[in-house]
Amino acid sequence: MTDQQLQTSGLSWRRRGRAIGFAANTTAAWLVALVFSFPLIWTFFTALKPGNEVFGAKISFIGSEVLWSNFADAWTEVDFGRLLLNSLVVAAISTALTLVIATLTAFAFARLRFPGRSAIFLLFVITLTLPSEVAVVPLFLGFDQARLADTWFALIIPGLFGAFGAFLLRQFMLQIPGELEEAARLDGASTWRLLISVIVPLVRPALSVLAIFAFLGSWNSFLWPLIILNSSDKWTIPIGIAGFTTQTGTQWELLMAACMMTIAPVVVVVAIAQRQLVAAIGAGAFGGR
Amino acid sequence: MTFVRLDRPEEEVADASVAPPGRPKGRLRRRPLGGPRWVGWAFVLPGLIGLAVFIVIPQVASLILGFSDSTLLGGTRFTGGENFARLLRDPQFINSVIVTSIFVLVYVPANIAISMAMAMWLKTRIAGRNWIRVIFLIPALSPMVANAAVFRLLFQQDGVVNQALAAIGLEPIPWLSDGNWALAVVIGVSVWQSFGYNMIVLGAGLDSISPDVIAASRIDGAGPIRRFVSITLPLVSPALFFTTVLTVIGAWQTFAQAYVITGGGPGNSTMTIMLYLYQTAFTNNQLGYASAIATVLFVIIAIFTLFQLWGQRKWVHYD
Amino acid sequence: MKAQWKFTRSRKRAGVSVVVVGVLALGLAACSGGGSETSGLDGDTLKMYTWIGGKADKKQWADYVAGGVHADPEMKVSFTGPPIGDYYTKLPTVMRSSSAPCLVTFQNGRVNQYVEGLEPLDDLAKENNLDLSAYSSAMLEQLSVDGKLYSIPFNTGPTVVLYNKQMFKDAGVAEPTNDWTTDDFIAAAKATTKDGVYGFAIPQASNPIATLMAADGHPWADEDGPLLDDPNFKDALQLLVDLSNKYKVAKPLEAAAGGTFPDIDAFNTGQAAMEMQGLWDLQHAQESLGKDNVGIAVIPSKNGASKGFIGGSGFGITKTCGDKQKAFEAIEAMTSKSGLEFVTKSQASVPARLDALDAWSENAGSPEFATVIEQMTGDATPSPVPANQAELDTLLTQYEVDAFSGKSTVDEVLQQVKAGLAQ
Repeated sequence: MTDQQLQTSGLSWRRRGRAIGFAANTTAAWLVALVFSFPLIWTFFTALKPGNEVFGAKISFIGSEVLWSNFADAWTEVDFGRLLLNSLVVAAISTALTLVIATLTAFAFARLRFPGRSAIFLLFVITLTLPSEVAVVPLFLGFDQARLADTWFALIIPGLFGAFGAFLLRQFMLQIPGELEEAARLDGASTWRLLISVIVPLVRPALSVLAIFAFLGSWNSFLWPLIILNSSDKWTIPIGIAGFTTQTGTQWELLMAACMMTIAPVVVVVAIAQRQLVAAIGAGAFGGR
Repeated sequence: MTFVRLDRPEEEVADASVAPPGRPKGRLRRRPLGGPRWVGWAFVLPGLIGLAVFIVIPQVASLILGFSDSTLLGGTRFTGGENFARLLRDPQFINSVIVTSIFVLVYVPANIAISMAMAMWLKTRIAGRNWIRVIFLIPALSPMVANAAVFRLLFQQDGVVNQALAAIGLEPIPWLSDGNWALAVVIGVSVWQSFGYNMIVLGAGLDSISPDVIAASRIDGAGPIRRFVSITLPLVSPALFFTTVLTVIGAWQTFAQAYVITGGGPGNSTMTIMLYLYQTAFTNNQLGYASAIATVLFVIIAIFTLFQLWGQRKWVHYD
Repeated sequence: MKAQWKFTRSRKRAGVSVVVVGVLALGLAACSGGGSETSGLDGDTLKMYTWIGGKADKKQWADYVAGGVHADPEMKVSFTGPPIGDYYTKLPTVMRSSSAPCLVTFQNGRVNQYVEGLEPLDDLAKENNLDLSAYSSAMLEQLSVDGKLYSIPFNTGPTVVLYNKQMFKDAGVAEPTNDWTTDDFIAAAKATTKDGVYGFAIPQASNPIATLMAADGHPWADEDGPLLDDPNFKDALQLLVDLSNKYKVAKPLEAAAGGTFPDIDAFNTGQAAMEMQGLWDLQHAQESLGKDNVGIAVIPSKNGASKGFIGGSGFGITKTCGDKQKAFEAIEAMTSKSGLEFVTKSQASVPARLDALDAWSENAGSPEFATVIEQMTGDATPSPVPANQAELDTLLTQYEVDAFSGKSTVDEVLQQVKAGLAQ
């Protein structure tokens, strides 16, 4: 329909059509979201069940009792408070340092010229393809020889240098027009100033995205903390969660409760950060192409 | 772009007025490390050193281990290319390559297509769409152990999924007893868990497309399909390229889902390369052989990645 | 300008120091491993590394340490460790590390892979006049490799059938006797399979097969490994498959991750009337189902004269332990008569010492339990532990699912396992 036709058919029809479309669209989207989150919903309901009703021929949403106490039990069973604190601190530090390093490196690749740049960049890209899990053993042996096994340093440092961050930021930095940089230089900006005042603000969305990825990477990391940490007071959540499987079976309802407790705070954080993310992206950082 | 020499700050302004990059005049004294080139080095050095020490060198060590027989508590014994010859004859390994290939070929397109579709859908007017974004992101926020445990519960023989099927009159499906279905479950949980990531990145890419361009194409009479193929896709191709490369790389390294849900079974129908590697290293205590597997995996991934990088020139539209 | 210059210079310095640290770390790593001066002690407290999941595991070790202190007030032991599913993965890296412990623990048959890091205990036993005959000889054999003893057992358990007394009563089935046959077992399972619950929960991997073979007096392995071609091996696996597919008294096995126990979960939540596990599960079963609701029975055999299959766990000493004598004394204390008797007050697992069995019967078991145990331990089928136990279990867990789904026959499954082991 051309605008002419729309106009002649009457504004109210158009509006009604739009409203119906909007409602239908919204409903459909939320339906999809509901189906998608079914496993999570199930997790929640399982967390509230008594242990002997997790399995069975006739499984219902709600068990014979609703045991909110499962959450408390799960908390004490594996000292969840400690696990949570460790995970949060480690993830926060990892994220901050990852952002810094990735920014510096990406800037060098995207905007600075130096001999060997292509070769080094290629090296970075190649490392993206390396399966990280096997390197765990030589890495552990190295830290151990340096008497740094079972330390926060050993836990955090290896994860900071993944080429992913540099790769991502470089992609976004490349899209910043050269004129902006020339203008800054003309104003007398040094390279450092250029980075901080011009480039970084323009790639803020990418930085937010990288921050999310870095945080999650650290939060969900399982194999490396398992290998490098010995003291149980340094454990992070994924290791602790495995503790619900003892030598005499698994307490599924407590495991599900712990999963809920793991997910909930992060969901809250992301829900809050979502607004800023969307706002940053929407602010047209990409507008000046 | 003009170069500014940091070691001669007082000459910045003068140099910036010189248009072509070239040796600026009046260079009398040079710093020992002269030239703007070391600026680049200074910025790249922390990342580079960290990369070298914590990623490259252990990988090289792992590569070397591939040429030896090694156990954690015992010693290391150089054996040359024996491990690699053995790999070629090892039916378990060959099977794991096949299993992982199937996984990649199904998982990657599914992941990308769904992320793209959802990213586009969430750009339309939907009430509370930010919340929907959060919902799709939740599985990515939880440890794989958690997700896998839930999927195990759901897909057991008498689990909820089969009970739901029975409720609508269908036969229960042997999700975890049949090789093909088990692989489907592994692929399913993988897509479920991770398309949220890609959806965000593609969303950012879509947001960078100027609405003026779309409006212009509309005025020109382009229908939605035409708009998508000729305008949206090319303009979002950098982000698309980025997510595809990483998704492929990640797919080849699938480990946790298979490890936690099926342990490689039934039979070896969900034995991915990484799972086989892990078993070889830690259950069978053959570090050398496991390192050889790692090297072969690396080669496979490198081939795929190089192919995509080469294709970048043809398929990806940069400004 | 000056500030910016300083900045770039200090960045260079930072860069250089990172390089230096990196090189140092690598240099140290490049030096040959091992030979580090680890003591495995914290002051005069011995460090023990073991499997610790939740509170139940912690309590178990606390009880054993308390028992040791009861026997020897000077003993000081601390413990730490990962959940059982990760314990054996972490163990080699921990034993190699600079914070290696003095004491470690092993379940039956898992010692083999770690002997390179363990101290043989025969000499220490002689020096300390430890009378090894007090321990179940079948257990000692399981914890020895090439004739050398590497671990002293603290609990032992023949694998038994645990059953839910209430479910048996509701089905009107008589409780198992000490001479019940496989047919009796199947009948009982059939009778208790109703209303959505099963009569039996099938365990994974090699333990049930080894147990069933042992019941009829057939060893399941020899020095070269598991006897995969032995017709008794096939029969045992076939029986498990039949229980699910032919007699329909059990849920078929599905693909599952290692280190999980779906059969224990099923039994402890009342989804199955019987399970076949080591006695160490008794404690948890009693806690889940009620102390008086759990009964144990001998393994059903073809002719009713059942022989036992021994399992259990023990303590070992690492080669890197700085004070092996002290470590041995601690083990002695924790596995002494008085130590193990003390433990029976709160732990239901059976002590590895025959002379502590009476205390166990009193505190944790009951007279009927005692007869079962005596029969199973007194008349056990000796069986060497294959060196590739862990691999075997992993392969069996993977491939046996195909037999349950009908995709492969039991023969084919065993062929697959054999091929996998040959790698």
